[in-house]
Amino acid sequence: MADLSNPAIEDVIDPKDERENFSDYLRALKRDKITAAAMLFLLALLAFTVGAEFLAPHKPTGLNLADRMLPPFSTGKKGLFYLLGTDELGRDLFTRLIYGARVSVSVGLLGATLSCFFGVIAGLTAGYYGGLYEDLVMRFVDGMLSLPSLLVALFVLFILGGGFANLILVFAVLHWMVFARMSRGLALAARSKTYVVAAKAMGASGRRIVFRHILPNVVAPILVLYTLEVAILILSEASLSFLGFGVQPPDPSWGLMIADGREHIRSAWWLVAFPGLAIFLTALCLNLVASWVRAVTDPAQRWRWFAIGNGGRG
Amino acid sequence: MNKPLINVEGLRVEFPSKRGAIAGVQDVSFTIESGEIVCIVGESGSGKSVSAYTLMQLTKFSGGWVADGRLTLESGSGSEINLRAVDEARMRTIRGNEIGMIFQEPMTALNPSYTIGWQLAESLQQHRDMSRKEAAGRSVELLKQVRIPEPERRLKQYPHELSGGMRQRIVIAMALACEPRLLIADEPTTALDVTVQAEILALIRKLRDETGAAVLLITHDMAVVAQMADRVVVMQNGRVAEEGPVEQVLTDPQHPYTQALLAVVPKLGDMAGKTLPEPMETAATTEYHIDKPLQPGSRVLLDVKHLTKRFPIRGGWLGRTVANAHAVEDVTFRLLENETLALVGESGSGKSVTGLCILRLERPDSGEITFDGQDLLALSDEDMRLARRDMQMIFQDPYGSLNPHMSLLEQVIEPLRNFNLETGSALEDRAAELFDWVRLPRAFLQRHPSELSGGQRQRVAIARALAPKPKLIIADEAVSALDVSIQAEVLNLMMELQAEMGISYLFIGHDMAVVERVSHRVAVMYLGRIVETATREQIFANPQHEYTKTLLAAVPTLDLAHRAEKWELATKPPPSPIHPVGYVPEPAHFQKVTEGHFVLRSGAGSVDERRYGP
Repeated sequence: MADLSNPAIEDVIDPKDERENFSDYLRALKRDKITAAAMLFLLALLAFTVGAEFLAPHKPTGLNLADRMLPPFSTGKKGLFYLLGTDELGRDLFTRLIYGARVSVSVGLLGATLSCFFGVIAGLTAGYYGGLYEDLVMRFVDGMLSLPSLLVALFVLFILGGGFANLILVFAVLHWMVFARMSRGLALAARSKTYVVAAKAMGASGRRIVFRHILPNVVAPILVLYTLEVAILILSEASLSFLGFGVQPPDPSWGLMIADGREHIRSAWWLVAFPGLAIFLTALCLNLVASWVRAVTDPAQRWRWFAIGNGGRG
Repeated sequence: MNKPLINVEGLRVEFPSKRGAIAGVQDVSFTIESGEIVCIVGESGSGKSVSAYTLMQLTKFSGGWVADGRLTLESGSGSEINLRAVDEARMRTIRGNEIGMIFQEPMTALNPSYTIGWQLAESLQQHRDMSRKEAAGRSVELLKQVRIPEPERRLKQYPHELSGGMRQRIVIAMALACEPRLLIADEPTTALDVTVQAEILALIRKLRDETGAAVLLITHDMAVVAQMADRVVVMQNGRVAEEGPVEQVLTDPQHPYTQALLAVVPKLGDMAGKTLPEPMETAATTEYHIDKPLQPGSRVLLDVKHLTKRFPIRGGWLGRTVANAHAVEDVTFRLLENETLALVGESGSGKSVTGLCILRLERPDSGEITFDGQDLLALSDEDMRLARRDMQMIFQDPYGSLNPHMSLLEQVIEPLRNFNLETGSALEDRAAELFDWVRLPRAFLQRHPSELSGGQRQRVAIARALAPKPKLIIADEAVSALDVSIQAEVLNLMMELQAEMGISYLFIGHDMAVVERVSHRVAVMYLGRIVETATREQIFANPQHEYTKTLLAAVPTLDLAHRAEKWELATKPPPSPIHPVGYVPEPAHFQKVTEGHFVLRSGAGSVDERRYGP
């Protein structure tokens, strides 16, 4: 009965006053400058991905051998300006980053989404129902996890052929286990929570308990894992593309760019640094925004983000 | 020393909120003399904890800040330390050295990964610069001081190896480690059983007498105040309502709030000579209409025979079962229509597991459960799911039993949806109707549980249980987590619904004064067995079993003549219900005392004769 909680929660009377509107969210974002910056970065990334044709300063595959290996902020022989420099074929790095975002971000997002979908279903049901079903699912997960994933990916892509769709499929097959393991643990913990026992006492079916009662309460950690997976998949795409089974050159992807630039890392650091930075920033911003979204949608926590006060946070 | 140890003047603590800073505590002043026990009493949200926590600058961790007021600590040499101004480094030395803290939950206040000895020695080495050896010696001394038997052995044990009462004594020992001059105890006994509570309260008084440390005790329980306090500070809505010596506040309360608070405390023995339950006395304005007497029917609704539930304890290689915890052992009882049967006992007595077994949320190992003519243990899982329509449950913790991510509307219509009782807009109408029943504003339907107080949440839980119009409600400690005034209202609501709808209650609880008020019959459980069962009148007027007597004697009362120091400290660990595989306990054998009053006579089995034998 420690009443250290914010007394506002107990005392607020007017329910109309409690529904946050758009301007409340804006104000909360304004105070949380880092999240706001992360959100801006992601919005910009989205804009560049969609509108690459209009926003990119150069052509992504346009060779210009005269302007090879120029460092950032340099002007080429014909007076063209290269913001982030050029690669060994004289292509503008910034333009390739913009076009590469298309492949990298969509492979990352789609791959993570698919594996999250299947992994969470398998893991939550296994954790909640238990018994033989759980054993079967989890041993299968263990088996899959012990496969050398790069080898399997190569093998499958060799048979099916490379390319965008197959890449995503392979990622889903190879990455759902991580989500399954985690969700099983979460379901195990949630199973003994009173509200889950209460739902059962109220006659809720197993499926309803898993997806209506447990899932919304375990979204937070899954979301965090999801954002990490996006970054991992962007990198995996890199290695597969590098080995020739992913995106085919000369189409750019961030991973491919790192792989290509690897040879010149001593003489042209920017070839690796900027794609790497792009991957890092994307993952970081996804993470920041995800944790913010999780917090402001949590009914028990969100008051902190909307509270006004001079001595508190913010 | 003529200066008070602690002086608080005009304290104002503010918290952030959506509409700007609001005051959690305002204009609070009190003093603590050295060697004095001061109780701050109030309901949840009254600011009692906040007021005490500011003394150690702990409010900032929950987002609050001191906006105004003076907080001083007498430094021992006559000068004053301004607790508001000291920096964090200085505060760290004050915490522990000058002010010790005892928390509510002995389960979580100790680190499960370290031994008792390590945890005690740590604070000693840190604050007192002791060598390891000195610290070990002092630890043994401390454990002796809090009356822990076999202190040398305890030092090597981990927290989970000790009972709740023992753990709380360890927490007290840790708080005492550096001989603070003030002990702050925040609801130190709320999480403990009533017999253990009596022990801990007696121990705190003894320690005060021995060490001369002042005690600031935060509590919601007026009976605890009566047992402990020299002076009382009554708080309401962040302000001090009344302050004075305990005799004066309890016998001649001046403030209407104090009077109301004292009036709603159920007193053991209030119901002597009455056969039927009666509504609680409330201070609130809500009227309850219980016009007909709560007369039980004659048809048997629930018939439980020889119910047994054991939890296997696995260990060793391959996770074999190495022992069984006998949670429920040969339990037999009947519940009539429109009747309230109270199942009382302390934690670990098996009362909650019994409730879960009836709903088949736990699968019993053996026994029979007949509900409304149906053999529940023979039903398929799907039929059992449907059968739960007639038997609903209210859980102890309204903070845990409501899904934090669902709106109240969704939660209340959950059973209607699951049993296909209503569809479409009828669902919302019914939810509104249920909210009317439990006297919650309909506008609350769109809220989430975190936006409600504990009492309001428990009403939602009741509304939800009522939704499918059940015949039986199992109320598992349904009011234990609530403030007394709200407790009374919720209980009255439950009784009103019983009179109106003819519901039977299996009322699982530990508070004897509440049980006396609401029940027709009582069954006392101890270590998995029912040790005594009788009508409410019989059991309170003429308890037969040793354990029932202990339980009744341990209930703290408002009577200032019976203070806590007389309570003896148990030195033996409580007997364990864990038995080796293959252990066959003696079947329950009851002796008839009078008509309807039975007492367990087969002592062997789970009931430990050394403590509460026949």
